[in-house]
Amino acid sequence: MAEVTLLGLWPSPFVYRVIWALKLKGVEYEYVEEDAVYNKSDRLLEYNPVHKKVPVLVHAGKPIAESAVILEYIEETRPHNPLLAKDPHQRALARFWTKFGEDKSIALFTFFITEGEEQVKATKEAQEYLRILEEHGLGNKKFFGGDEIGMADFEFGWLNLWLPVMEQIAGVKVMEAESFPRLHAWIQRFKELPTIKQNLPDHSAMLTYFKDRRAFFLASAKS
Amino acid sequence: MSGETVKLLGHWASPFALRVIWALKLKEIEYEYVGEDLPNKSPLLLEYNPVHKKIPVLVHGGKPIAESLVILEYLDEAWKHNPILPDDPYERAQARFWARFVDEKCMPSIMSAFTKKGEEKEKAAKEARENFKILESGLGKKQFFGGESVGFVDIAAGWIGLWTRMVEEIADVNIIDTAMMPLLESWFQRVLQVPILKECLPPQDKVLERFKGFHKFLTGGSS
Repeated sequence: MAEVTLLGLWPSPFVYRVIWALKLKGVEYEYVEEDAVYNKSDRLLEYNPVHKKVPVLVHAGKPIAESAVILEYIEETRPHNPLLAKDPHQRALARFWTKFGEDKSIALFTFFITEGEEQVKATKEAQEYLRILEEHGLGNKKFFGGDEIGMADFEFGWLNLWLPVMEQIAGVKVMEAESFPRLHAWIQRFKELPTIKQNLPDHSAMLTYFKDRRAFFLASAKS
Repeated sequence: MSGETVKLLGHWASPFALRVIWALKLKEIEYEYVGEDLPNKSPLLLEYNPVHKKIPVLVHGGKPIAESLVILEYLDEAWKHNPILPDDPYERAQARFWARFVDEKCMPSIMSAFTKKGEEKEKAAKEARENFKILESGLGKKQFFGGESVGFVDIAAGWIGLWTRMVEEIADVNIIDTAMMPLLESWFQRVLQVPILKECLPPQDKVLERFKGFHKFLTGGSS
């Protein structure tokens, strides 16, 4: 692959999906940290004028935005260590669950930006979706992708670190091990994969960052 | 692949089912259509899409696939004839990006303009107009999003001009602004002149009646 640049934001699980894909496939890239929340650079606005967000992958000068679209692009241009099975039906299932993750992502972390009764309600809703995910998405498979990790595993990869951090700060347990044994077992397997283990943001930095974010969201909700 | 039966669970008024019908027709795939009598969901639908319980669902050789854009990708991978997505990975990424933009930005803002009242309605309409303007930047001066002939985004969004006009009429709101989006507006007309797409459109008067019914129900009648 010719020169690849990834515009990112270090605590973003969307960015990490792309990092994991690039690392798994052995793609050399330059990482550029963007202050995508408070101080969007001209470069970001030029490369993602539509959404003005990260991640953005720039390959030979051409930008691609949206993490799921980026993952498909990386998969097509670098087949090594595939993220999708060869069988079209398996591929469709991976895309279905990736979409499920995207569609439900706000619902899955609303518990983090709410308190009191709203938080109770949000937690219940998140748990409903996690139950569906565990039952229908993961089932009894080793990974969402089957015996090997795939696109859908990266979609839910945030459950391994971001969720516990958010649970700790928000003071609520969303995904108890006893209630979600298969998802928990999957998380243990996922965390141990070298690609993941070697590519995670710093835990204490995450705690500080997300503590600030929760405070910010709760304050905005009040105003 | 071609030996196995293809079944589509759909609804006559659904633009998402229409996407799949268009793709099946363009790719000359034989299929059996099963119309759902929504809101009464058949046991078949509940079995084939237990997660969302929605149409469209494609069933190929007994295996179900849900989510219209996931189905479109599946059709292109399982049947190589008359491809919907371009060959080039960057162009494919652009097609995926714009199809998602339609679903994640255009549709919700149009629906908001349809269901809200007063100032909120006007605000939603403004957002919908801006989203169409942005969508136009993905089309540029091309005949179709797919280039010289219809492709993924045309199939995903070709009905949106017609549906938006109905929303405008019923909700008494302006979304399509010729001066603001001349290229997109001429695409709205051009795409529905493609014979295969035109002949699959559901009866527009019936769709309008159905929308009017929804509007009354959702807003209590007034705009």
